[in-house]
Amino acid sequence: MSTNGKPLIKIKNGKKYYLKLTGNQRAQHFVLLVTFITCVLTGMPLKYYYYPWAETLLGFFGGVSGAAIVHRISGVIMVCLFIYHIFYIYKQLNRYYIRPAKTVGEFSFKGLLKYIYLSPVFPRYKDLIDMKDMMKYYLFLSNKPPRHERFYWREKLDYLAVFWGINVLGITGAILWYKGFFMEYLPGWAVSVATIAHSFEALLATADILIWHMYNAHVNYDKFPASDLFLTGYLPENIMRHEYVLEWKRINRIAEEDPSVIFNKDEWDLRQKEREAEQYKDTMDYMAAAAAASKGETL
Amino acid sequence: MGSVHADLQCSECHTGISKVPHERNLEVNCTNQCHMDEPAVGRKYSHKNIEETIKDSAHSPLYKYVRAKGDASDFPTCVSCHKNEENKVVITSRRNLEHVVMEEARGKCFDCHTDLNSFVSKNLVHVLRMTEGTYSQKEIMDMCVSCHNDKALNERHKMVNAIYSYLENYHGKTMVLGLPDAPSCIDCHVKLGESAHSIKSSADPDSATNAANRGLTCVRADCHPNASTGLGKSYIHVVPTDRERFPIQFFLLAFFTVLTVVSFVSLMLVLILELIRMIFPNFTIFRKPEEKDEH
Repeated sequence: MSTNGKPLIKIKNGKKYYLKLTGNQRAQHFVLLVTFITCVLTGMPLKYYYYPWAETLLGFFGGVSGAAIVHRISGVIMVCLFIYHIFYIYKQLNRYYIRPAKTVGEFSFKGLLKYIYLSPVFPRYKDLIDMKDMMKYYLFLSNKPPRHERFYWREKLDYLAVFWGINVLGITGAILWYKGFFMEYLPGWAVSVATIAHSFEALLATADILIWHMYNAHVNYDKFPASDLFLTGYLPENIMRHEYVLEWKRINRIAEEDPSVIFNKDEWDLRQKEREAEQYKDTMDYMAAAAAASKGETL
Repeated sequence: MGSVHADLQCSECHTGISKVPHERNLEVNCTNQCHMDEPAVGRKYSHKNIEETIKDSAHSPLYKYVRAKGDASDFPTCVSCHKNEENKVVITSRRNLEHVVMEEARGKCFDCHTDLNSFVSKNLVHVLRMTEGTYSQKEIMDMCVSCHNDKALNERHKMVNAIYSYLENYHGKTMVLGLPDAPSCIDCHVKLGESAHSIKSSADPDSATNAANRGLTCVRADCHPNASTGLGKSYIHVVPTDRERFPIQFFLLAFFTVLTVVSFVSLMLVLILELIRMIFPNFTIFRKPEEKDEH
């Protein structure tokens, strides 16, 4: 895994933190977060136009016409993010499989598919097993919760939902925006179908993000009231052990073999203090010498 | 009295009045030749021409495209829409003129029309107010809603409720959300160059909403000037829950409803089960023996 120079494990106040999201990934998430919330705030009042809050909410964006502009700008940025993300996926594939495999001379299409299948966010057979084990655990039929790697079915579901959602919302949004162009070629039901799909896909996404994603990422039993993962990119060890035990073990194995992936902030702080003390001592020595020298001159 | 009819004798419109005190609830006859000479042609003024226009429109039982004649008394008369006391066209006063004509222009009028009270109140304001919109878009919509939202009336005349589908459309939503120039009913249903008195059935080849003319109605300068006339193919009055008339929309709506309910309910179930499990983390019905960790 690329860490872009970031340590896999950070130690702070004696506690271990594990790298979960790189800076690039956090930036992508942040753009998605901002554009998603903006689209919800400017779009939902139109869906629920009959509630009194709808007009009030639109008022913050300059009424219906202002909100329409904000919604479109935000939607375009979201679609651009999606296009960038496709490029990002290609870049990662190229960097971790295609180029190295070609260098070694072992590149094959089958190998590429296998790499994609086993890559952390791609749905695979293990997810089904994990879901079965989870249900057994939740129904008190087993004392063994499923053991997860880097991303498990909850995150994959969220990720694929965004993949599907941006496609549905982007395409239907474009039809609604440029209906004057599209209706030259599309049948009469196109605009009403696009309206229904755009509106209900948005409702589905909003409901799932607001309750499912917020629960998983923030308010669930061991993260309450909020997790700073989306800002720092690091997850504390207790959550790693609880939710991502296989990844936790894997990173620990890597760290055992190569301790350079660990950044011990406590030690670094301690060394920094020592360095400062040393520097202070040097300064004092210099000043004493300088004072002595000037005394010597005047005498 | 703020009405343009303020200067008229009661009996000029209430033609039934023959004695004082008169009987109550006397009907108004708007097609009466009445009250004043039209200054340009020196002819007695009347609203009779409008009655002729209405006869060839969807609001008359005589119109050949009326789907079901039903109860003839359901069809509107002049006063169904033009309530004298609410009618903005008819407000007259010197003060009102200031909103309509600019200062310099007014001066020019007054050069000749020295008898300001009679000319201004009877003609100028009346005509000038008609050159700009006399009702707000919302008032026009409310006027149509007052009859077309009546379920019994719609059934009698085999009409679908166009109000619900209009409000669910972007046109109607922006109207409710207070966009001042949101399109009202007559923006689509009246042909350019005609008045709201000549609203016709979409089955009529001469109608603004006929399949052949709809595209041209959409691409008017004030509406979608850059659109292709293909925009006219779009359905506006869609009722997605109506499976017979809108099967594609119906099944798409059903798909999204099932998708939303199934995904939401199953995710909620997982969430609730998880929280219950966490209350009793050590309780298990079938306990597996502790396996030795592979690492």
